[in-house]
Amino acid sequence: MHRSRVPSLFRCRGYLPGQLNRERPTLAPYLRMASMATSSSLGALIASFLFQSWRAHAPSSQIREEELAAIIPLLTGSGASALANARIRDSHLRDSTTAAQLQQAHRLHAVHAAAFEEDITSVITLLRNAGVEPILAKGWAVARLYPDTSLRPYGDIDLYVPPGQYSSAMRVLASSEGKRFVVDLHEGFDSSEGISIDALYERSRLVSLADVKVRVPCDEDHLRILCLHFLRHGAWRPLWLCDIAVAVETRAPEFDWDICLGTNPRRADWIACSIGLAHRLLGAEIAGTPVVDRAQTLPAWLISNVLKQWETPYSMSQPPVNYAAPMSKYLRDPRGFLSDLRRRWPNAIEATVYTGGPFNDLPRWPFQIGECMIRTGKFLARTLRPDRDD
Amino acid sequence: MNNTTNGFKPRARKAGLVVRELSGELLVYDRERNQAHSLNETAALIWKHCDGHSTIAELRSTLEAETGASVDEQVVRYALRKFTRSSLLEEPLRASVGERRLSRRELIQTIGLAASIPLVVTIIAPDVFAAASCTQACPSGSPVECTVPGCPVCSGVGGTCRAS
Repeated sequence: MHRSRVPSLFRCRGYLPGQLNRERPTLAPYLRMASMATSSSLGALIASFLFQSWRAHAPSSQIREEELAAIIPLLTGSGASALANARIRDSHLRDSTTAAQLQQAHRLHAVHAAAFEEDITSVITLLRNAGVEPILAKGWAVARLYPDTSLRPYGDIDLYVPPGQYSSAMRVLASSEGKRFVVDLHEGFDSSEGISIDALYERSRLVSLADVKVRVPCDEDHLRILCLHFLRHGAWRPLWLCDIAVAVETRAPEFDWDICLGTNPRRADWIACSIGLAHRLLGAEIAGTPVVDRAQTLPAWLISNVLKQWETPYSMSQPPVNYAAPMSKYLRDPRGFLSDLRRRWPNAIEATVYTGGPFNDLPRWPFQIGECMIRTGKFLARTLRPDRDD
Repeated sequence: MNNTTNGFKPRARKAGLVVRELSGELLVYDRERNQAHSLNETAALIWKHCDGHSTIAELRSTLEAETGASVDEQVVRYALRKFTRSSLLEEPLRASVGERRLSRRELIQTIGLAASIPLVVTIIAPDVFAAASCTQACPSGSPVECTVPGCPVCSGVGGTCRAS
């Protein structure tokens, strides 16, 4: 796997909220429409502020300046500043100092997008010349669905190759020419997504980026990937739900829901719930989809958990980045073990998906305990493996 | 090459730059210096016409033709100095002996319209998020090599530091 030097201009850094305005915000009408129980939370304020922000003509926000100031670190730190800028560029706040911060971040995202697009065409050409045909997912593959790719920042290039092409791709990316690209290379496709790499290839399509054709998953597979990725990571980044909203709203008329939802009923329900969240929290249009009914019956814990996550939407606050040390360290020195163990308590959404549980109204703690047990088992198996190097 | 203002034929730098238009601004990212600049409409127009063949006087004429307004040569010189400072030209502009450099304020007083002053602003923004995965290499195959918090597990010799 490859990771070359990331320019400091684009370096990922968690943004700490600092002194946030905890005053109860005046709720936007959109927020009331979403009928959320925890309406005073910053997460709910983010949801209302990002309402339909991905659209070419995003509705102007009526947010107060002090409310905006309170959520700016959360928006900036989670990659949603360009979308936020779209919500206020025609509003009463367009000339405010807080708006200036969002405009600057949007400019930075725009040059970021331009640089990455140049890199994507170069690295795909490089790989093709070596006989490797990669599929690009997430990142630019979803940014291209937005009215402008600068609205949706990303930090690496996710490429999927068949297992038979992986070593060739590794060689290319390890070469002096390939090293300069920030590529996350995947061997095959995660079986938990319920799609084989062969099926992904078979249904994939080529889209133009400058003068290069880029292979991306078909719309159905991509929406499925986005939904499951959102849930597997505990739904903590608002931008991921915007991705789902964009993918739903830009789907082609011939979009095949059977492919998107798949044959596994539980996974299909997770996907339906993700789309339902995009509708309930962000105002995504879902009329005419098979998930309309499910969107109205989402479990209460699901909505409240997403909004809770959005109060700290920074990668530095999320597992595994917030772990103090690898568990193996505590075998040698147990100091700090208990406090780090608390950080590892999984969130309800991630735990339910990890353990293959249903999205119903039952309590989530059995799934959270289940995930802890599975992870502990894996850790022990890895630690006690006889051929372990260290 | 005579890089003083009289015979200077500026050429916009292309190599190592990524350019994108956004809401009437031209954004230029210098990949070699890791700097991003925002050029307003006037600056963008001048920079785009820096082809290495046009003198400052010719650039002024081009600008007049494109904007339909009278343009002072000082405006072009001011822009070229800004481009030089931001390393956006192949060859830097050097001032002639005795040449007086106008500040932005003096330029506004001379020209009269602040909107027509070419601006090149370096973009300084709070650290913005860019999503990335656990992708640090662990060449020795040992978790000891995995120094990124949250990516503690090595996938094997020559592999990557993973979350789990």
